[in-house]
Amino acid sequence: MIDGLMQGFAVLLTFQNLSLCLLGAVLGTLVGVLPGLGPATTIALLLPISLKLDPTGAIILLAGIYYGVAYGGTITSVLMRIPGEASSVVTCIDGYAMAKNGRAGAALGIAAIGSFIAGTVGVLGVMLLSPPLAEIVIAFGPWEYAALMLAGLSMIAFFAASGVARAALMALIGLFLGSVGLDPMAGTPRFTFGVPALVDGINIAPLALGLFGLSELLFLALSGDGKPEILRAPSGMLGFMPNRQEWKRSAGPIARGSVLGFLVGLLPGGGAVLASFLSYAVEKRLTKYPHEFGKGAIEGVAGPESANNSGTAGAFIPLLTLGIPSNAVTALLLGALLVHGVQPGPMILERQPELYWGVIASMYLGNFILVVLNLPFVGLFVRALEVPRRFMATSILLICVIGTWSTGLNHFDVLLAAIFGIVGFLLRRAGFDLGPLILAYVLGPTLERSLRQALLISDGDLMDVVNHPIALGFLIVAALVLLSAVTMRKRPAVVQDGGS
Amino acid sequence: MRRRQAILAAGSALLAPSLAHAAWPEREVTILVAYGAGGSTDVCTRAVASEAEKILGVPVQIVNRTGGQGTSAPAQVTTGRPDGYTLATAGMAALAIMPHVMDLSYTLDDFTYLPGYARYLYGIAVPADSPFQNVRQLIDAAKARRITFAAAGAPQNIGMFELNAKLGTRFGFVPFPGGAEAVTAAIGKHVDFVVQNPPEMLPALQSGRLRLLASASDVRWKEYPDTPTLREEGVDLAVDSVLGLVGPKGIPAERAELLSRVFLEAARKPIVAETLNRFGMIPAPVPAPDFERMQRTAFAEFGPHLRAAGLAKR
Amino acid sequence: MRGHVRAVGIAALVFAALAGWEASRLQAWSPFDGPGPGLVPQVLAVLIAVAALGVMAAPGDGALEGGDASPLRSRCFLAYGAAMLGVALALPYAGFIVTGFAATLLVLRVGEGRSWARSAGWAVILVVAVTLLFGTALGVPFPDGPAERMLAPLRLIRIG
Repeated sequence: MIDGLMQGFAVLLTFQNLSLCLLGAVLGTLVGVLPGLGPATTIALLLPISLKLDPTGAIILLAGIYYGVAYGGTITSVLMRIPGEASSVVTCIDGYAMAKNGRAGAALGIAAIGSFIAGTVGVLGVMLLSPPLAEIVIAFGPWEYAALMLAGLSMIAFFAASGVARAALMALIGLFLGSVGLDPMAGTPRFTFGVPALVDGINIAPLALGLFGLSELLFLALSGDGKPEILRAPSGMLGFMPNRQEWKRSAGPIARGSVLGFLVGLLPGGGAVLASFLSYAVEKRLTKYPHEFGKGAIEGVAGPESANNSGTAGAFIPLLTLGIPSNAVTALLLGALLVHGVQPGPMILERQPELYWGVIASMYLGNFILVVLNLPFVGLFVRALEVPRRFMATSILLICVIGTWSTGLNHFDVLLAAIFGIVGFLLRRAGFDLGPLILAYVLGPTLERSLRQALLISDGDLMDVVNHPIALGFLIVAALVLLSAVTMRKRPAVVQDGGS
Repeated sequence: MRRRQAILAAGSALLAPSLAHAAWPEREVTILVAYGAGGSTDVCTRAVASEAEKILGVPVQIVNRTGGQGTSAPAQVTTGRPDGYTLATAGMAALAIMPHVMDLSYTLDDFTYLPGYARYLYGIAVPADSPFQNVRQLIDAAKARRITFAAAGAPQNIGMFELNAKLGTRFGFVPFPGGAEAVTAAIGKHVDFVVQNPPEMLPALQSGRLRLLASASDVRWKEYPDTPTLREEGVDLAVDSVLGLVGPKGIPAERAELLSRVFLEAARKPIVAETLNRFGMIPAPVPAPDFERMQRTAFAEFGPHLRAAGLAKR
Repeated sequence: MRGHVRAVGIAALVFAALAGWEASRLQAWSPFDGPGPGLVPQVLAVLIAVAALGVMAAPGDGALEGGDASPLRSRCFLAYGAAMLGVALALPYAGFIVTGFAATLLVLRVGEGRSWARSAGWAVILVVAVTLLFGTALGVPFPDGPAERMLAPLRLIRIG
């Protein structure tokens, strides 16, 4: 294995491959920063160019974009409450709150470091644990997915700070929005009202950008007419980095987020969104400072940011070892591999070891480049907060519009984003939390589809679930989560301890 | 007199070029691809397009118009001007299947049909330790009890429904959102077998986790020349799906003919065959009238099966 | 706060009613394979109604997010809101460049109260920058519009 890795670095350390790795990382960060423009769109745009490169180089470039995006999405989430990616939605909650408290630099800094550690853990996992983990992927059938989704949905209980009924209402609406489109089994159009753009369902880009980004724009418009500053700029040099207490509090979340994100990102259909929400919920449960969550708890940034980075690495396992893409981006990478005549799968280690190890080596290097790129620029990014509102907000508006447009080249998406912007504004104004909506919207379709698939296979037998121990395990987790959420509400408030 | 003749001569010399046919096309041709970049449809169309570019002498650019399970690109092309500059990919999904499933803005009569260029291959595979050694055993078992199969949708499921109707088998279709998910389900033994395209199945087949029982297409797979087709096993079924190009109805005949000629020639190039093979497809340079006939026949055939399976719109 | 929460609750009830009515037109149970397309949406519609009632029963107190002043009184808010909706509605007809310019102009002049010259100046800079970044550098196809049709032959942008 070590000489495999050595071989990989040897492949990587050519001028061409190094520059591709760098280019991918930088481009990925840029794409992550720009809302709406997702890795899938960018990889799609670059595909023709990548066709002219050799396979290893092409994959290094495209993979670099993929993990660069996970870094870039944090920046707009923290600074402007605009999720650059769906997986950065969770960071908008506490990251932005930290920025309002003047700790934007700390948030960005901890996110970058956490992402680096998690990314490295993820790559190690890919290197060492691919075969057994590939078995886990295969063992997941419809019952297991349904149970996993239920466990994920149960996490909403941890978002119910503002009240159970409110979180439930948001979640239910999210589930409903997820059911728009073609029925997963019969292909019948549901709630499409003859609008062709809705046939594939409500896209996540207009939903997330509208609910979070555009609604934030409206709040900005409201906040004190004419004041030049939007957010409190941090004071002095040290405001740019996390302080000792923040480091201490982040250690656990980063570790847990790395492992959790990796395992969840591994599963097709699991993905970075679930990983980041899961990590947020876990950290909220385990923290000594639960009342800070929602108001700027650093665990709420460290955990999810680590989780979505190691999740990115985890998604490579099914791709490289089984030839199975976990999400739209790895599906594109698969296409790119095929175009170059590479057949991913168990044979890849025998047939094209230099490609496999080259990609792994580039993942290490890519992570390193990204943290080196992002950390020094934290100060620069934070300066963006001092830009007067009229420049920032109008830029946000136009970028969100073209970003939403770029995902599907559809006018309806942009209209949806604007509508969701207004809806998001009204809901947030009344104190509703939008996190459960997004989580339910993402998990709902998979839940419904998996449950119906399971019933199809078992011929309508609901009790068939007892034959599936993994599924039962997740159901127990779901029950425990709900139980623990109930007991958490009864916990006496923890005394505030310095800090914040 | 001489001067007048000279002027007339000069005049007709000026007019002459415009009397001859202006060279068409004069600017780039755009092909709307109904699926995302990097997918099999997209890459294969790009391969054909780049060969067509060389023959046509103008750029052929690709724009991805995803959505609607392959219908958004054909739908958009029907709204454009029938000048031959904007075309769209159209496969069985857009022409023969989705019109039965949902209301679309077009019908089969709204297109100028151009050639087909690629054909998808399909195969039937079982988990490695499955008791079925060949297709006959599978069919016999399915007559006795329900046998589940995973597939991403049509046309594979329609093929199995046809068998149910003809042979009295009880194949139970379990839909999955994509080929990769369907294949994974089979590897994990959550279903009894899978019917999908080669690239999705090859890694598992080559590592021995799945066993290819038969090719569901008209031809054997290149990678598995010893595995028979369904027809060779005595089963009267071939799952076929041809991808081609369409334009809005009313493209002038000479332009349509020129495009047909060019794309047929491009589809026959060896480099195109190579790219197609990597995605589990084979070249299918099908002339336009035959392509149209194929799609219309499929449309007529699939309707009853879809309705019988409860998958058609009410 | 109470008023707003109640409004959201009522809106949710209306939504649930409409959703349930539309969902009832889908099959709840398919004879072939268990739950039909309609089952989940119908159940959800009912649950949404229940949750809406629950929300209205306990509206809670507290300040409204963003301050208690009505947003409709703020010129800035109205300008941004109009710009946002205007862009979304006008995009299919006028393309991105023209609508983006108009929206930015509107926001700066009406919302932020800057002079015509400064507003137009920033609007031009912003639109050019975004077009160059997304359209030229990243190659994102732009929506069809008058300005786009002028720029496309210059190979600066593609129309998608």
